[in-house]
Amino acid sequence: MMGYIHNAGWIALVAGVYFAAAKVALALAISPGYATAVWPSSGIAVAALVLWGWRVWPGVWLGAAAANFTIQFSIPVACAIATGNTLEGLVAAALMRRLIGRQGRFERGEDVVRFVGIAVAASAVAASVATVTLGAGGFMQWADFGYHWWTWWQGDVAGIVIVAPLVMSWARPQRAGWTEARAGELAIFAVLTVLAATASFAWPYGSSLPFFFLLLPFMIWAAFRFTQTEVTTAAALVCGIAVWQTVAGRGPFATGDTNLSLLLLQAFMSTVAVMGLVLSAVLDERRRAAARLRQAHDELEQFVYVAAHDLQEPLRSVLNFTDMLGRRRDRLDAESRDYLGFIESGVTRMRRILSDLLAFSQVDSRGGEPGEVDCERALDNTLEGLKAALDESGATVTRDRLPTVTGIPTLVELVFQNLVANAVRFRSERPLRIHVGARRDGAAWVFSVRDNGIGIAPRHFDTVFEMFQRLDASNRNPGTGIGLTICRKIVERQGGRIWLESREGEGTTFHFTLPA
Amino acid sequence: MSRPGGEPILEILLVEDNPADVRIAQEALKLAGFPYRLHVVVDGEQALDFMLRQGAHAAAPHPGLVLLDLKLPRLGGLAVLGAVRARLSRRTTVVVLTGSSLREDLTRAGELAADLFVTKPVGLDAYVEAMKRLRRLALSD
Repeated sequence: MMGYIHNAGWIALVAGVYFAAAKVALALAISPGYATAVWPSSGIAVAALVLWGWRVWPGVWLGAAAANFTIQFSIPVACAIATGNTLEGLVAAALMRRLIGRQGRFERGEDVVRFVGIAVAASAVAASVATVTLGAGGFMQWADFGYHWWTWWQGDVAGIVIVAPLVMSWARPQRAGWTEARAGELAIFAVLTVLAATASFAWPYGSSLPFFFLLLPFMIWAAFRFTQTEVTTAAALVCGIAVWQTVAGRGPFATGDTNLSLLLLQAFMSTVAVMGLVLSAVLDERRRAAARLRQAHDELEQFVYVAAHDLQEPLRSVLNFTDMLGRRRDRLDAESRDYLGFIESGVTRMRRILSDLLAFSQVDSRGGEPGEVDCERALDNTLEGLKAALDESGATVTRDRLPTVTGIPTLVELVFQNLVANAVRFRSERPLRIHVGARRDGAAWVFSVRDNGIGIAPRHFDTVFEMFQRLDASNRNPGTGIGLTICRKIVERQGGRIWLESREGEGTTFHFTLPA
Repeated sequence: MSRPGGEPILEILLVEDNPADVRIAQEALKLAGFPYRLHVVVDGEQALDFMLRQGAHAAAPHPGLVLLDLKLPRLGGLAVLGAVRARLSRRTTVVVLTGSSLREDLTRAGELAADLFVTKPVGLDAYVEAMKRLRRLALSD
């Protein structure tokens, strides 16, 4: 019993709103006759059927019948037309349900385009039923069939395209963080939009310039800054003002020729509404994709960190007791000694990989906030830390005057460290000379680390920065190959680029940029 | 383990639940060359009992050096330190050991009221050196 009363309530609501919207539209009909630029009721019907299901169809039927009765005062005609309108709503809602479900929100650009197609098809149903009924009832000359069908059809299409998304987005609003600043921006936007719409349309026809196209940027503003609810509302507002002024004979569309006026108005309103919707849907799509990507990235980082962290303990045990076994080497038989040797080299490599992985995973989130980096100090620290290797290789290090840049000090040092260490590792028989340079290039500094080592073949230039790519597999140049990957990650994280130049047999120069 | 003569015997309490880490500590101490007595407990509650000389460890000697693993089952290192700090005399040197070299773990260890925190050494030689250093630290208090 409660179910019936509940249903009856919804039906009455839909019927009432349908009827009211119809009366408002009729009041704004372009004289003579009742050709309406937009029939909001069709949009309300579609929205109601999508959101609340088939059970509200009697509401649509009743509202349509009542509205049409007040025009022709003929019950059979009103019933027939109402049936056509109800069919239109059911067809559109059924197709919409399959397209976007009961959510009532457009989540992809393609969905909006398909929605327009649905509106076009469903409106044809209502227009056909209505004009045939009117013709059969004698209210219309058959010669005017085309004109009436066309007028009816485009009114319904506009109604569905403008009003259905509006109702649906209000019924199912998106969660959005409304700060004071954002609410203020919305208020400014609303005022400016209304002003712009009024300014575009409130001039006597012929004296106004066609500024109405400037309303499109307002839709772009709404799509980028607010949710679909605000976009559809802005579109409806602009369309409402346009219709109101045009019917009153003002604005660039009020040509005095009903057909032309209607056509121009239709084209304008549909463009505004559909464009806003498409933009809003596409931006939503992009935001969701970005959020998913960020989440996947965070999860992966977390995983790497946890894996690396938890691996330290077992690795330490293996290292310690491989060490202990090594001290008893002479007590082992020949085969056991061999096996131990393999274990030792495997373990050493494992340790380096793990330490690199840890360093790599820490670059992103745990470096801290960017500040000032004194590159002279950074290089000093690096050379200090690599002192043993530099002395052993007899390297000479020269440098330009290094600037202060924006970045994270520990990470910049890490870049220098990796590049200088690489220069040491890949040196030739010549005495090693390393030069660290810096030059200003616009808003950034370009650093270079040049060596006269063995060089890198051009075919490797791209892969050199990939993870774990080692160009020299011999044990003379130990390294897991993650150093350059870390460099690239650090440099790119701070808004820079890294690349290299090299000639085999002559040397390599690594360049990287950092913001000033 | 203990030698006659002038050198004091260092009572060491090792709070460690990983048998591999216990063993390497034992091996390192054997090679470190100073007189010591090593006591091992495997969780924080036992560590508390030992240091406060209660429960099963009522007859425990007073430790001169406590090596405390950061992550312990049943009462972590942080809680043990907190409970004990007030009641231990200054003669006890508490060293927090962490197996991780990650920045946050070291920072966390540093926030504890320990005399020193160290990353667990890797390799026997490193461990022996560490033990000698810790002994000097403990005896200098």
